[in-house]
Amino acid sequence: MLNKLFPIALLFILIGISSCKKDEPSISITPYTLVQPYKFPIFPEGEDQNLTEEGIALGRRLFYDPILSGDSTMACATCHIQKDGFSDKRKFSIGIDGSIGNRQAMPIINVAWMTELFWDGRSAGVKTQALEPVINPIEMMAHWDIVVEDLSLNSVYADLFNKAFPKQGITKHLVAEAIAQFEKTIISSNSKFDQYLKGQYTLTDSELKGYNLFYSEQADCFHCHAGALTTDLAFHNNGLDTFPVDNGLEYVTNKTTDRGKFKTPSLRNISYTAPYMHDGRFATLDEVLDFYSAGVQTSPTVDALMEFSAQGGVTLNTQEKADLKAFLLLLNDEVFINNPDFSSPF
Amino acid sequence: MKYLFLLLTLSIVLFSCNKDPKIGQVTLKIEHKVGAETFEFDTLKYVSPTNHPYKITKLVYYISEITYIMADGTEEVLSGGYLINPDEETSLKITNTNLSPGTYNKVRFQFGISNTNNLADYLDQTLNNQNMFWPSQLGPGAYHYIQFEGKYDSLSTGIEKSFAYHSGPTMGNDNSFSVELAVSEFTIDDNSFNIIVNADIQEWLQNPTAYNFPDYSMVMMNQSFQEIYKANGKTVFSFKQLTEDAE
Repeated sequence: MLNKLFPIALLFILIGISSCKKDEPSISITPYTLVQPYKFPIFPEGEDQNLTEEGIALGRRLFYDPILSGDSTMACATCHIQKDGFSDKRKFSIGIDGSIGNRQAMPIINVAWMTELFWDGRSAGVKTQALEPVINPIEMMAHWDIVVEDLSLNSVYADLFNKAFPKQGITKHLVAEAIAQFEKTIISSNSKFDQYLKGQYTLTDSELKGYNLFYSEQADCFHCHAGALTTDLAFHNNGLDTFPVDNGLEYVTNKTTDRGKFKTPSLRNISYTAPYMHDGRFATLDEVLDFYSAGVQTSPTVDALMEFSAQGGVTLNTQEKADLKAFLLLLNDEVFINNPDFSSPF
Repeated sequence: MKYLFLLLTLSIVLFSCNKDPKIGQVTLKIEHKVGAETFEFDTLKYVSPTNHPYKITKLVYYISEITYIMADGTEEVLSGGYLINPDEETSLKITNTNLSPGTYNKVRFQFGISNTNNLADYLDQTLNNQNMFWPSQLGPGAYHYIQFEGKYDSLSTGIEKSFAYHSGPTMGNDNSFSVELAVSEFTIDDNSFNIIVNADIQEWLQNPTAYNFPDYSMVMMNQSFQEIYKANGKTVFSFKQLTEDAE
């Protein structure tokens, strides 16, 4: 009897093994592969780069939709404006109730390479970053449970979420995931400087002098504004104040040695992303160059690379500043600023 | 009975396919110190040979072409460059799983990256490697060898000043150098060894040339500084200990 039962048992085991991976008929999802532009670093390990066309489309809509704010008047795009390099021309952005922020809106440019977001790096990844402004009382001032409910009652979103994340419903984490997918596609890699690196653009005399200054020890821009991203994505005190009003990274690490340190911003689309610094104190690029030339302050945490802080900066003459500015303007990317894929879908 | 045997065979096949055969390996582990002091960032607890209290705010450097040398002189090279950062624990252990069986008694590596290898495609284009970029304006070559930065007490004014000692192929000079260390003899078969190497950062400032911090700034274009740095660097690394991992 036992011998007769074994073939049947074996058959059931094999059926069980072969059937456990069978998918039910599913909604088609189209993978989207981010391209690593010429000279750019490889994407960081541990960051999920599995994007989909459906996820990106959903994220783009959410990014531009005021449904995410407490009174449906404000979207991510209210303070991250494409023509401003996905930053805000205002020194500080204004929340739905008129509250004024205390830091300049960081440009959303090439965030696919970033693992720490915000000026003080308090968010560990693009996905988690999007969770914060929605509920921040001086920004969008919403409640996630209400936002999720509003989205669930909206038939367009019910459909879009089901296409992007089949059978997963709508959660705040999926909202953030979709926005992160869209934001990761916001890549700027077609500036005249990129064209120069590819041998497709010839620098003018002034641009060449500025280029050489940028990569010299004299002006020494390149250590922090490193590589193709023009940022080392690290945190530095660049000597804005002897006694910083905003302690920056120290708020996150609770280390006094991190006082006044902020994330190095990218220089890409530099004309569009004014005003400059974490507090938007400089309205123009000329003011920035004057600061690095003669306005740098010493402090216990000023970065060691600000080697000339004791003498106020790197001491550039008028022509050198003009040349450096000519080079910096090469980092503007008109294609990026006008890319219809990044614009409002509404 | 034969079905029982069949089931047993099936389960052995299913459960054994992921098991790797055991192979020997050796791991180079770097431990940092500053003279007699433990290594610590951002703490003004070290004293330079010219009596300036100082602290270290950043230390990253490459070692490359790690070579294990057998007692009979045969060499096994682990190609590539490795970025060492005392702030990143994983960077301090470099494991070679392809070492041929045999008896070894030396390890050699290049501090920095030799001119032959210092080309952009020598390293993966990670963000960390791009941050070590060496501009062509400062001479041919793709990467810094080291970025060693900190603050020192300027004594006369009581104000902390900065030092940023970066080294690389200044104007095309190969300022990288070879470090060869005799280590306790070990025989690789299917076992795992760790070679622990000390890196004494104070040596960079004192032996044979004692640095005076105020004497040096903008060192990347200063070949005479680079020569001192290179000479001092040769005594930074020393063999500390060989350990064998438990079976």
